[in-house]
Amino acid sequence: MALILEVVQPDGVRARYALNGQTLTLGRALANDVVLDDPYVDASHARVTLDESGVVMVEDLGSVNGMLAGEQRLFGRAVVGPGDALRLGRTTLRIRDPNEAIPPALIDRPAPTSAPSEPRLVRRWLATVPGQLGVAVVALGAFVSSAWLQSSGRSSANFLVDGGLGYAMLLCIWAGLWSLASRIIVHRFCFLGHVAIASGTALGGLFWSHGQDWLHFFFPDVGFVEVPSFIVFAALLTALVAGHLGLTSTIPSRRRWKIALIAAASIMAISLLSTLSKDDSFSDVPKYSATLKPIAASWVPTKTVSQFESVTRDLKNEVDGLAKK
Amino acid sequence: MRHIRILSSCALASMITASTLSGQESGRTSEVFRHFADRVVKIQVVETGSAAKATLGSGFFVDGAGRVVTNYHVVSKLINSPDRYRAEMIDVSGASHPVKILGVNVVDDLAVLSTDVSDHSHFTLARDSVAQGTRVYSLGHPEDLGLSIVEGTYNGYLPHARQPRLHFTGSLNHGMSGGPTLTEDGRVVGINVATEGEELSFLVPVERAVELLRQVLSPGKTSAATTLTQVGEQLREYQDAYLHDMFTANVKTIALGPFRVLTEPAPFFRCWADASRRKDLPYEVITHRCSTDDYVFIAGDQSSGVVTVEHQLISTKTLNSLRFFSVYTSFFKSDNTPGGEEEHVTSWRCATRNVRNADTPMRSVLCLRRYRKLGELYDAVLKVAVLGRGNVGLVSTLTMSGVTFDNVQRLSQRYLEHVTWR
Repeated sequence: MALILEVVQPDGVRARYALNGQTLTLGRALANDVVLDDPYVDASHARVTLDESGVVMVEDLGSVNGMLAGEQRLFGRAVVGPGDALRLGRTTLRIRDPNEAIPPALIDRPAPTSAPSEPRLVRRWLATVPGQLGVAVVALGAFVSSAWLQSSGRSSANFLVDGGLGYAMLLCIWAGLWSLASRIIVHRFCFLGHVAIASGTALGGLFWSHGQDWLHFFFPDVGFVEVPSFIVFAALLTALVAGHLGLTSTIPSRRRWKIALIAAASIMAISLLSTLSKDDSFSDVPKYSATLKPIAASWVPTKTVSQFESVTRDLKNEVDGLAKK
Repeated sequence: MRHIRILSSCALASMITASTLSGQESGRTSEVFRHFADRVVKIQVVETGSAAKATLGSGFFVDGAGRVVTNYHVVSKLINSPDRYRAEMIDVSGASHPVKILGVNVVDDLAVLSTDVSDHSHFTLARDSVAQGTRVYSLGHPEDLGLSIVEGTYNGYLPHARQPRLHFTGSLNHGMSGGPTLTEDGRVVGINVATEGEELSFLVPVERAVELLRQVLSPGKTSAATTLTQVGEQLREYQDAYLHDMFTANVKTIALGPFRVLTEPAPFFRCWADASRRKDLPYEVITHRCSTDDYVFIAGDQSSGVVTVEHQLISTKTLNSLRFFSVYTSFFKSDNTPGGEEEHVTSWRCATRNVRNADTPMRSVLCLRRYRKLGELYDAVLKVAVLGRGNVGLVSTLTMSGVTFDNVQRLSQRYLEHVTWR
């Protein structure tokens, strides 16, 4: 019965030899039957014999690093069979039975092109100049509109300067610094790419901060609006860092997101700590949610005047507690 | 330096005025000064750590046992932080004497001190009637420049004040607080307490000092160790009486744009209205504000019994509702709460709710902080913004200082009940 000897290296099977009753010598020297290009293998390392009864015998020829079956070192001779693996230096030898069962072939279908490929299309579009410019323009428009809504002067110039110019300058400085890093590390600027990434994040932050205002307006007594805000800003920050790193380095995607997540978490932790420490310090300026929104009177969820009384009692307990400190 | 210049120019002006007076009148002033100067003393509160003067005022002997009357605000630092300050009296010869606080009336702004001086010449305090227009003389230590005399006119009781105050037409300056104002024959009519400048000055009527002396000298008087507690009790009593009927009986309201709101919370309140229509702004603001001059000084920035009502009607003809509400929000956000020091008050804590009074939805914020040393007294600010229209809004603020929590609750609720659409 013939068996197969496979030489396996980290990048796959390198060679296969038929064992047909003869003896094969293994080693780094070119005089061997099986030449192993492995610096940890001796010139004449081992010998493999298949006898007539079908028993495979391996024999160490006094090598420096010996032979390993799993974690166990083999000395002198050992018997191995189909399915066993041996290590010589950093090379693995496997004994295979040519008649062993193998799974059926995979059916070769053309790759689906419909729904699942959409994100890729968006991503690909965002990688183009019009895509990147589009994101930047939309974000700029959003910031200018937001500044216009918050402006109270008759002249239109102020909000353009405050909202548009200020934002655009900051954005260019930020994207410029990342571009410089990209140029040094991966030898290309990708300025528009960095602008698009920063614009997208800023747009997300702007939308969320307006959304948060509305939440505060409708539910002023719900304290946990801060929690989703915290999560959203952490996510935006992670996306921002990961996006910039994607253009600035060749770090694989998973590691990049990990690094971004750690960076965002550290920044958020520092900001959380500073917020907490500020909360404790004395201030003679009251802080309250003052957002007012223009909606019909019937849409505003309200409490009665007498329900407001219980709120005042909670406040009293809180300041009484502060006075005891 | 600027301060001294101003004072020296004042001195020059008074010299010129003095030269135009008849020799008889100026002779009388110097006679009054010569007769009574030794009964007036300087009171100073000194920071014990640095030995630096923290407050300076005047006082005067009221009996042979060396008791001195001055203002509460002259010695308030010592009362609020007895471990950080000490008070001393400097007599006419410049000798310094330690003093103790025997009793205070924080509402009248008076304090009685004991000194180690005895058998000193003194004023005898008694209720007295003086005709309006009588020439009176005020003594004291302005800006630590030495004992001075200021001549002026007695103009009777202030008409709108809740706490009795006398109107003295004459220039009182810092440092003269606690000094006496007397007639030519040495009858004390009042104790110097405040000034608004331009010869408009105020005195505590002498009968309030007579009453405090009577309390201090009566058996079972409050000891100095409990002065702070005493101050707290006086304040609570004062504000209870002051706020009892507010917004209840004869509630006055006014129409402000499409809203109806409270005005003139009590007869001793004065209300003003003002409209701002600037060409460079696309909105208009009409402000209606009611306040009172009656308040009780406690310490630093702290006062008790200050109640103010302020309405701001904001409207626009040009802004869309989103832009108008940005303006409206900024008015609602603007902070006009009283300041304060950590030593005396806690930080503010606020609660915001959307509240509906009948058909009127409002954004309501109540902010509260507590006094640290005076028992259960609070500062509170209630801010309201009426919702529901895209081009007109009302921000209404009720500020209360040094009041009990019961009053905060009662007044807030009544206030909210009186803000409505017309």
